Amino acid sequence: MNQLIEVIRQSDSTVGKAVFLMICGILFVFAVQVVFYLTIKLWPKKGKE
Amino acid sequence: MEDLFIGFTALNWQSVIMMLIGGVLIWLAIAKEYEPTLLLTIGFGTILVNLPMAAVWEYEGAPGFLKILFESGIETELFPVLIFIAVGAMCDFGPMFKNPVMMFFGAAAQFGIFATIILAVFLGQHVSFLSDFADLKVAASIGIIGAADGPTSIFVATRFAPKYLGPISVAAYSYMALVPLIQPPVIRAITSKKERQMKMAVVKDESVPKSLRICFPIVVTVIAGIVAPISVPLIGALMFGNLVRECGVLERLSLAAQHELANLVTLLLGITIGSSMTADRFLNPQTLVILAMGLVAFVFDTAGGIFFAKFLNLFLKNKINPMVGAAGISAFPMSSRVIQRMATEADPNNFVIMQAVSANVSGQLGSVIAGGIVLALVPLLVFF
Repeated sequence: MNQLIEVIRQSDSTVGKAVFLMICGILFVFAVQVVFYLTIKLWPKKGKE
Repeated sequence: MEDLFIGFTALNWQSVIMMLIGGVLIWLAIAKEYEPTLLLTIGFGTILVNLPMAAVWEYEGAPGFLKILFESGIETELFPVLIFIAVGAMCDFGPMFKNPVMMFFGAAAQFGIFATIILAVFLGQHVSFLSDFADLKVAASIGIIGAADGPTSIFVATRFAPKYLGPISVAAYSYMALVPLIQPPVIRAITSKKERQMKMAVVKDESVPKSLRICFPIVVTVIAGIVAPISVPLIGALMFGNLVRECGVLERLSLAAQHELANLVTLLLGITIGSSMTADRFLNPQTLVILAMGLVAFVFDTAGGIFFAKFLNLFLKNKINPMVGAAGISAFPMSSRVIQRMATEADPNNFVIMQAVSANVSGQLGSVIAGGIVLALVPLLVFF
Protein backbone atom coordinates (compact mmCIF):
# COMPACT_ATOMS: atom_id res chain seq x y z
CA MET A 1 0.00 0.00 0.00
CA ASN A 2 2.85 2.34 0.91
CA GLN A 3 4.48 1.66 -2.45
CA LEU A 4 1.21 2.35 -4.27
CA ILE A 5 0.77 5.65 -2.41
CA GLU A 6 4.36 6.58 -3.19
CA VAL A 7 3.90 5.84 -6.91
CA ILE A 8 0.72 7.94 -7.00
CA ARG A 9 2.37 10.73 -5.04
CA GLN A 10 5.24 10.83 -7.53
CA SER A 11 2.77 10.92 -10.43
CA ASP A 12 2.19 14.22 -12.24
CA SER A 13 -1.49 13.53 -12.80
CA THR A 14 -3.56 15.36 -10.18
CA VAL A 15 -6.73 13.90 -11.72
CA GLY A 16 -5.21 10.46 -11.15
CA LYS A 17 -4.57 11.39 -7.53
CA ALA A 18 -8.15 12.63 -7.17
CA VAL A 19 -9.50 9.37 -8.64
CA PHE A 20 -7.32 7.40 -6.21
CA LEU A 21 -8.64 9.59 -3.39
CA MET A 22 -12.20 8.78 -4.49
CA ILE A 23 -11.64 5.03 -4.64
CA CYS A 24 -9.77 4.91 -1.32
CA GLY A 25 -12.08 7.41 0.35
CA ILE A 26 -15.30 5.59 -0.55
CA LEU A 27 -13.79 2.21 0.34
CA PHE A 28 -12.58 3.52 3.69
CA VAL A 29 -15.93 5.13 4.54
CA PHE A 30 -17.76 1.91 3.68
CA ALA A 31 -15.23 -0.21 5.58
CA VAL A 32 -15.62 1.92 8.69
CA GLN A 33 -19.42 1.81 8.39
CA VAL A 34 -19.26 -2.00 8.06
CA VAL A 35 -17.33 -2.15 11.34
CA PHE A 36 -19.91 0.08 13.03
CA TYR A 37 -22.73 -2.00 11.51
CA LEU A 38 -21.24 -5.20 12.87
CA THR A 39 -20.69 -3.56 16.26
CA ILE A 40 -24.37 -2.66 16.45
CA LYS A 41 -25.61 -5.98 15.03
CA LEU A 42 -23.46 -8.14 17.28
CA TRP A 43 -24.03 -6.10 20.43
CA PRO A 44 -25.71 -8.24 23.12
CA LYS A 45 -29.40 -7.42 23.29
CA LYS A 46 -29.61 -8.00 27.04
CA GLY A 47 -29.76 -5.08 29.44
CA LYS A 48 -32.15 -3.00 27.40
CA GLU A 49 -33.13 0.50 28.32
CA MET B 1 -11.18 67.91 6.97
CA GLU B 2 -10.29 64.84 4.93
CA ASP B 3 -9.72 62.89 8.14
CA LEU B 4 -13.23 63.78 9.25
CA PHE B 5 -14.74 62.15 6.16
CA ILE B 6 -12.29 59.28 5.93
CA GLY B 7 -15.17 56.82 6.13
CA PHE B 8 -16.62 58.24 2.91
CA THR B 9 -13.34 58.54 1.05
CA ALA B 10 -12.24 55.01 1.99
CA LEU B 11 -15.49 53.48 0.74
CA ASN B 12 -15.22 51.65 -2.59
CA TRP B 13 -17.72 49.81 -4.80
CA GLN B 14 -16.31 46.40 -3.95
CA SER B 15 -16.99 46.96 -0.26
CA VAL B 16 -20.49 48.18 -1.04
CA ILE B 17 -21.20 44.99 -3.02
CA MET B 18 -19.90 42.88 -0.16
CA MET B 19 -22.12 44.72 2.30
CA LEU B 20 -25.05 44.06 -0.02
CA ILE B 21 -24.11 40.36 -0.06
CA GLY B 22 -24.06 40.48 3.74
CA GLY B 23 -27.52 42.05 3.58
CA VAL B 24 -28.78 39.27 1.29
CA LEU B 25 -27.51 36.63 3.74
CA ILE B 26 -29.32 38.40 6.59
CA TRP B 27 -32.48 38.59 4.44
CA LEU B 28 -32.26 34.85 3.66
CA ALA B 29 -31.83 34.15 7.37
CA ILE B 30 -34.79 36.26 8.50
CA ALA B 31 -37.27 36.17 5.62
CA LYS B 32 -36.62 32.64 4.37
CA GLU B 33 -35.34 31.15 7.64
CA TYR B 34 -32.44 29.46 5.80
CA GLU B 35 -30.03 28.39 8.59
CA PRO B 36 -30.66 31.71 10.39
CA THR B 37 -28.16 31.13 13.19
CA LEU B 38 -25.33 30.92 10.71
CA LEU B 39 -26.40 33.03 7.75
CA LEU B 40 -27.41 36.00 9.90
CA THR B 41 -24.15 36.01 11.82
CA ILE B 42 -22.07 35.45 8.69
CA GLY B 43 -24.00 38.24 6.95
CA PHE B 44 -23.39 40.73 9.75
CA GLY B 45 -19.73 39.74 9.97
CA THR B 46 -19.47 40.42 6.24
CA ILE B 47 -20.89 43.91 6.70
CA LEU B 48 -18.58 44.65 9.62
CA VAL B 49 -15.39 43.65 7.87
CA ASN B 50 -16.22 45.56 4.68
CA LEU B 51 -16.91 48.87 6.37
CA PRO B 52 -14.30 51.54 5.60
CA MET B 53 -11.03 51.00 7.49
CA ALA B 54 -12.32 47.59 8.73
CA ALA B 55 -11.55 48.54 12.33
CA VAL B 56 -13.09 45.28 13.52
CA TRP B 57 -10.20 43.51 11.80
CA GLU B 58 -7.26 45.80 12.37
CA TYR B 59 -6.80 49.45 13.19
CA GLU B 60 -3.48 51.30 13.29
CA GLY B 61 -1.62 48.03 13.64
CA ALA B 62 -3.69 46.76 16.57
CA PRO B 63 -5.86 43.69 15.94
CA GLY B 64 -9.61 44.18 16.09
CA PHE B 65 -11.91 41.75 17.86
CA LEU B 66 -12.76 39.78 14.71
CA LYS B 67 -9.10 39.25 13.89
CA ILE B 68 -8.48 38.03 17.44
CA LEU B 69 -11.45 35.66 17.17
CA PHE B 70 -10.30 34.47 13.74
CA GLU B 71 -6.75 33.77 14.86
CA SER B 72 -7.78 32.09 18.08
CA GLY B 73 -10.92 30.29 16.97
CA ILE B 74 -10.67 29.49 13.26
CA GLU B 75 -6.96 29.26 12.53
CA THR B 76 -6.51 27.04 15.57
CA GLU B 77 -9.61 25.01 14.49
CA LEU B 78 -11.01 25.50 17.98
CA PHE B 79 -14.50 26.71 16.99
CA PRO B 80 -15.35 23.81 14.65
CA VAL B 81 -14.16 21.35 17.28
CA LEU B 82 -16.29 22.98 19.99
CA ILE B 83 -19.27 22.96 17.62
CA PHE B 84 -18.71 19.24 17.15
CA ILE B 85 -18.97 18.66 20.91
CA ALA B 86 -22.30 20.47 20.82
CA VAL B 87 -23.49 18.57 17.73
CA GLY B 88 -22.48 15.28 19.35
CA ALA B 89 -24.53 16.15 22.42
CA MET B 90 -27.52 16.84 20.15
CA CYS B 91 -27.12 13.67 18.06
CA ASP B 92 -29.45 10.79 18.85
CA PHE B 93 -28.11 7.71 17.09
CA GLY B 94 -31.16 5.73 18.26
CA PRO B 95 -32.83 5.50 14.82
CA MET B 96 -29.55 4.24 13.36
CA PHE B 97 -29.20 1.56 16.07
CA LYS B 98 -32.73 0.35 15.33
CA ASN B 99 -32.12 0.07 11.59
CA PRO B 100 -28.33 -0.28 11.15
CA VAL B 101 -28.48 -1.38 7.51
CA MET B 102 -29.26 2.25 6.70
CA MET B 103 -25.71 3.11 7.78
CA PHE B 104 -24.49 2.20 4.32
CA PHE B 105 -26.46 5.06 2.81
CA GLY B 106 -24.55 7.35 5.14
CA ALA B 107 -21.47 6.14 3.27
CA ALA B 108 -22.90 6.07 -0.27
CA ALA B 109 -24.19 9.62 -0.04
CA GLN B 110 -20.65 10.91 0.49
CA PHE B 111 -19.98 10.17 -3.20
CA GLY B 112 -20.52 13.84 -4.01
CA ILE B 113 -17.45 14.84 -2.02
CA PHE B 114 -15.09 12.72 -4.08
CA ALA B 115 -16.78 13.30 -7.44
CA THR B 116 -16.58 17.06 -6.88
CA ILE B 117 -12.90 16.82 -5.98
CA ILE B 118 -12.22 15.17 -9.36
CA LEU B 119 -14.32 17.81 -11.12
CA ALA B 120 -12.51 20.63 -9.31
CA VAL B 121 -9.10 19.25 -10.25
CA PHE B 122 -10.24 18.80 -13.87
CA LEU B 123 -11.50 22.38 -14.05
CA GLY B 124 -8.31 23.61 -12.39
CA GLN B 125 -6.25 22.02 -15.11
CA HIS B 126 -8.35 23.22 -18.02
CA VAL B 127 -9.63 26.67 -17.05
CA SER B 128 -6.92 29.26 -16.57
CA PHE B 129 -8.62 31.41 -13.92
CA LEU B 130 -9.35 28.29 -11.85
CA SER B 131 -5.74 27.10 -11.78
CA ASP B 132 -5.80 27.14 -7.95
CA PHE B 133 -8.25 24.24 -8.04
CA ALA B 134 -5.67 21.97 -9.66
CA ASP B 135 -4.09 21.79 -6.21
CA LEU B 136 -5.56 18.67 -4.58
CA LYS B 137 -5.78 20.44 -1.21
CA VAL B 138 -7.95 23.22 -2.64
CA ALA B 139 -10.04 20.72 -4.63
CA ALA B 140 -10.56 18.63 -1.48
CA SER B 141 -11.73 21.71 0.42
CA ILE B 142 -14.28 22.44 -2.30
CA GLY B 143 -15.41 18.82 -2.51
CA ILE B 144 -15.97 18.65 1.22
CA ILE B 145 -18.94 21.02 0.80
CA GLY B 146 -20.64 17.77 -0.23
CA ALA B 147 -20.30 16.53 3.34
CA ALA B 148 -23.34 18.77 3.95
CA ASP B 149 -21.77 19.50 7.28
CA GLY B 150 -20.66 23.05 8.08
CA PRO B 151 -18.07 22.37 10.80
CA THR B 152 -16.39 19.63 8.72
CA SER B 153 -16.19 21.99 5.73
CA ILE B 154 -14.70 24.73 7.92
CA PHE B 155 -12.23 22.33 9.51
CA VAL B 156 -10.96 20.98 6.17
CA ALA B 157 -10.91 24.39 4.46
CA THR B 158 -8.98 25.95 7.36
CA ARG B 159 -6.35 23.27 7.02
CA PHE B 160 -6.13 22.97 3.22
CA ALA B 161 -7.43 26.20 1.66
CA PRO B 162 -7.82 29.05 4.18
CA LYS B 163 -8.02 31.49 1.26
CA TYR B 164 -11.40 30.04 0.25
CA LEU B 165 -12.80 29.56 3.76
CA GLY B 166 -15.49 32.25 3.32
CA PRO B 167 -17.16 30.97 0.12
CA ILE B 168 -16.80 27.32 1.18
CA SER B 169 -18.53 27.99 4.53
CA VAL B 170 -21.29 30.03 2.93
CA ALA B 171 -21.85 27.34 0.28
CA ALA B 172 -21.93 24.54 2.89
CA TYR B 173 -24.47 26.26 5.13
CA SER B 174 -26.58 27.70 2.32
CA TYR B 175 -27.01 24.41 0.49
CA MET B 176 -27.80 22.58 3.74
CA ALA B 177 -30.66 25.01 4.15
CA LEU B 178 -31.63 24.59 0.50
CA VAL B 179 -31.87 20.79 0.63
CA PRO B 180 -35.69 20.95 0.26
CA LEU B 181 -35.15 22.74 -3.06
CA ILE B 182 -32.09 20.82 -4.30
CA GLN B 183 -33.01 17.20 -3.65
CA PRO B 184 -36.57 16.83 -5.09
CA PRO B 185 -35.68 17.58 -8.75
CA VAL B 186 -32.65 15.28 -8.60
CA ILE B 187 -34.74 12.50 -7.04
CA ARG B 188 -37.50 12.94 -9.63
CA ALA B 189 -34.95 12.86 -12.44
CA ILE B 190 -33.44 9.51 -11.47
CA THR B 191 -36.36 7.61 -9.92
CA SER B 192 -39.65 6.53 -11.45
CA LYS B 193 -42.99 7.18 -9.77
CA LYS B 194 -43.27 3.44 -9.19
CA GLU B 195 -39.98 3.48 -7.30
CA ARG B 196 -41.06 6.46 -5.22
CA GLN B 197 -44.27 4.60 -4.32
CA MET B 198 -42.32 1.60 -3.07
CA LYS B 199 -43.35 0.69 0.47
CA MET B 200 -40.84 -0.57 2.99
CA ALA B 201 -41.17 -3.04 5.86
CA VAL B 202 -42.04 -1.42 9.18
CA VAL B 203 -39.03 -0.91 11.46
CA LYS B 204 -39.42 -2.81 14.72
CA ASP B 205 -39.55 -0.40 17.62
CA GLU B 206 -36.99 -2.25 19.73
CA SER B 207 -35.34 -0.47 22.60
CA VAL B 208 -31.61 0.08 22.30
CA PRO B 209 -29.32 -1.36 25.01
CA LYS B 210 -27.93 1.42 27.16
CA SER B 211 -24.52 -0.23 27.04
CA LEU B 212 -24.53 0.16 23.23
CA ARG B 213 -25.47 3.83 23.44
CA ILE B 214 -22.60 4.42 25.89
CA CYS B 215 -19.95 2.27 24.22
CA PHE B 216 -20.71 3.28 20.63
CA PRO B 217 -19.06 6.74 20.82
CA ILE B 218 -15.98 5.19 22.42
CA VAL B 219 -15.78 2.44 19.78
CA VAL B 220 -16.22 4.97 16.96
CA THR B 221 -13.48 7.21 18.36
CA VAL B 222 -11.03 4.33 18.77
CA ILE B 223 -11.71 2.91 15.28
CA ALA B 224 -11.52 6.34 13.64
CA GLY B 225 -8.36 7.08 15.60
CA ILE B 226 -6.74 3.91 14.27
CA VAL B 227 -7.99 4.24 10.65
CA ALA B 228 -7.37 7.97 10.29
CA PRO B 229 -5.55 9.47 13.32
CA ILE B 230 -5.74 12.97 11.87
CA SER B 231 -9.55 12.79 12.03
CA VAL B 232 -9.61 12.46 15.82
CA PRO B 233 -10.14 16.17 16.60
CA LEU B 234 -13.35 15.99 14.54
CA ILE B 235 -14.71 12.57 15.40
CA GLY B 236 -13.34 12.60 18.94
CA ALA B 237 -15.10 15.88 19.72
CA LEU B 238 -18.36 14.68 18.14
CA MET B 239 -18.26 11.41 20.06
CA PHE B 240 -17.25 13.11 23.31
CA GLY B 241 -20.39 15.23 23.07
CA ASN B 242 -22.43 12.10 22.33
CA LEU B 243 -20.94 10.22 25.27
CA VAL B 244 -21.81 13.10 27.59
CA ARG B 245 -25.38 12.88 26.27
CA GLU B 246 -25.73 9.10 26.54
CA CYS B 247 -23.86 8.33 29.75
CA GLY B 248 -26.90 9.32 31.80
CA VAL B 249 -24.96 10.92 34.65
CA LEU B 250 -23.98 14.23 33.05
CA GLU B 251 -27.34 15.65 32.14
CA ARG B 252 -26.33 19.16 33.18
CA LEU B 253 -23.21 19.08 30.99
CA SER B 254 -25.17 17.53 28.14
CA LEU B 255 -27.72 20.31 28.26
CA ALA B 256 -24.96 22.91 28.53
CA ALA B 257 -23.29 21.47 25.41
CA GLN B 258 -26.60 21.37 23.53
CA HIS B 259 -27.59 24.90 24.44
CA GLU B 260 -25.02 27.26 25.93
CA LEU B 261 -21.96 25.87 24.15
CA ALA B 262 -23.77 25.45 20.82
CA ASN B 263 -25.25 28.93 20.96
CA LEU B 264 -22.11 30.72 22.08
CA VAL B 265 -19.78 29.05 19.60
CA THR B 266 -22.28 29.39 16.74
CA LEU B 267 -22.53 33.10 17.49
CA LEU B 268 -18.76 33.55 17.41
CA LEU B 269 -18.19 31.12 14.54
CA GLY B 270 -20.68 32.82 12.24
CA ILE B 271 -19.48 36.36 12.75
CA THR B 272 -15.85 35.25 12.47
CA ILE B 273 -16.46 33.36 9.22
CA GLY B 274 -18.18 36.51 7.97
CA SER B 275 -15.00 38.43 8.70
CA SER B 276 -13.15 36.31 6.14
CA MET B 277 -15.48 37.56 3.42
CA THR B 278 -13.58 40.62 2.33
CA ALA B 279 -14.03 42.00 -1.18
CA ASP B 280 -10.56 40.98 -2.33
CA ARG B 281 -11.16 37.37 -1.27
CA PHE B 282 -14.80 37.01 -2.25
CA LEU B 283 -15.41 39.11 -5.35
CA ASN B 284 -13.76 36.92 -7.91
CA PRO B 285 -14.91 34.33 -10.42
CA GLN B 286 -13.49 31.50 -8.31
CA THR B 287 -16.09 32.25 -5.62
CA LEU B 288 -18.94 31.80 -8.10
CA VAL B 289 -17.45 28.52 -9.29
CA ILE B 290 -17.04 27.31 -5.67
CA LEU B 291 -20.71 28.10 -5.01
CA ALA B 292 -21.71 26.24 -8.19
CA MET B 293 -19.54 23.26 -7.32
CA GLY B 294 -21.07 23.07 -3.85
CA LEU B 295 -24.42 22.61 -5.57
CA VAL B 296 -22.92 19.94 -7.83
CA ALA B 297 -21.58 18.14 -4.73
CA PHE B 298 -25.07 18.02 -3.19
CA VAL B 299 -26.52 16.71 -6.47
CA PHE B 300 -23.87 13.97 -6.67
CA ASP B 301 -24.48 13.07 -3.01
CA THR B 302 -28.19 12.64 -3.65
CA ALA B 303 -27.58 10.61 -6.80
CA GLY B 304 -24.93 8.47 -5.05
CA GLY B 305 -27.36 7.47 -2.31
CA ILE B 306 -30.18 6.69 -4.75
CA PHE B 307 -28.05 4.62 -7.13
CA PHE B 308 -26.64 2.67 -4.20
CA ALA B 309 -30.19 1.84 -3.05
CA LYS B 310 -31.06 0.72 -6.60
CA PHE B 311 -27.93 -1.42 -6.64
CA LEU B 312 -28.84 -3.05 -3.31
CA ASN B 313 -32.36 -3.73 -4.61
CA LEU B 314 -30.85 -6.05 -7.23
CA PHE B 315 -29.98 -8.45 -4.40
CA LEU B 316 -32.51 -7.75 -1.63
CA LYS B 317 -35.77 -9.59 -1.10
CA ASN B 318 -37.27 -6.72 0.91
CA LYS B 319 -36.72 -3.83 -1.49
CA ILE B 320 -35.62 -0.39 -0.34
CA ASN B 321 -37.35 2.72 -1.60
CA PRO B 322 -34.46 4.32 -3.57
CA MET B 323 -35.37 7.77 -2.26
CA VAL B 324 -34.20 6.69 1.19
CA GLY B 325 -30.66 6.56 -0.19
CA ALA B 326 -30.81 10.31 -0.79
CA ALA B 327 -31.37 10.82 2.95
CA GLY B 328 -27.84 9.56 3.57
CA ILE B 329 -26.51 13.10 3.43
CA SER B 330 -25.73 14.86 6.65
CA ALA B 331 -28.37 17.60 6.42
CA PHE B 332 -30.50 16.46 9.37
CA PRO B 333 -33.50 16.45 9.60
CA MET B 334 -34.29 18.35 6.38
CA SER B 335 -33.35 15.52 4.06
CA SER B 336 -35.49 12.86 5.78
CA ARG B 337 -38.44 15.26 5.79
CA VAL B 338 -38.01 15.84 2.06
CA ILE B 339 -37.98 12.09 1.40
CA GLN B 340 -41.13 11.49 3.45
CA ARG B 341 -42.90 14.39 1.73
CA MET B 342 -42.03 12.99 -1.69
CA ALA B 343 -43.10 9.48 -0.65
CA THR B 344 -46.46 10.87 0.48
CA GLU B 345 -46.80 12.77 -2.81
CA ALA B 346 -46.25 9.53 -4.72
CA ASP B 347 -48.60 7.54 -2.48
CA PRO B 348 -50.44 9.09 0.47
CA ASN B 349 -50.15 5.79 2.38
CA ASN B 350 -46.40 5.46 1.99
CA PHE B 351 -44.38 5.99 5.18
CA VAL B 352 -40.60 5.81 4.93
CA ILE B 353 -39.78 8.40 7.56
CA MET B 354 -38.22 5.92 10.02
CA GLN B 355 -35.86 4.52 7.41
CA ALA B 356 -35.07 7.99 6.08
CA VAL B 357 -34.24 9.29 9.57
CA SER B 358 -31.95 6.28 10.13
CA ALA B 359 -30.11 7.02 6.87
CA ASN B 360 -29.99 10.71 7.71
CA VAL B 361 -28.45 10.12 11.15
CA SER B 362 -25.96 7.73 9.55
CA GLY B 363 -25.09 10.52 7.13
CA GLN B 364 -24.10 12.71 10.05
CA LEU B 365 -21.60 10.08 11.06
CA GLY B 366 -20.57 9.25 7.49
CA SER B 367 -19.82 12.87 6.63
CA VAL B 368 -17.44 13.29 9.56
CA ILE B 369 -15.71 10.01 8.71
CA ALA B 370 -15.38 11.09 5.07
CA GLY B 371 -13.97 14.44 6.22
CA GLY B 372 -11.48 12.63 8.42
CA ILE B 373 -10.44 10.34 5.58
CA VAL B 374 -9.93 13.30 3.24
CA LEU B 375 -7.81 14.95 5.94
CA ALA B 376 -5.77 11.77 6.27
CA LEU B 377 -5.33 10.87 2.60
CA VAL B 378 -4.71 14.21 0.89
CA PRO B 379 -1.42 14.96 2.72
CA LEU B 380 -0.19 11.50 1.66
CA LEU B 381 -0.80 12.28 -2.01
CA VAL B 382 0.71 15.75 -2.29
CA PHE B 383 4.08 17.26 -1.51
CA PHE B 384 3.68 19.99 1.11
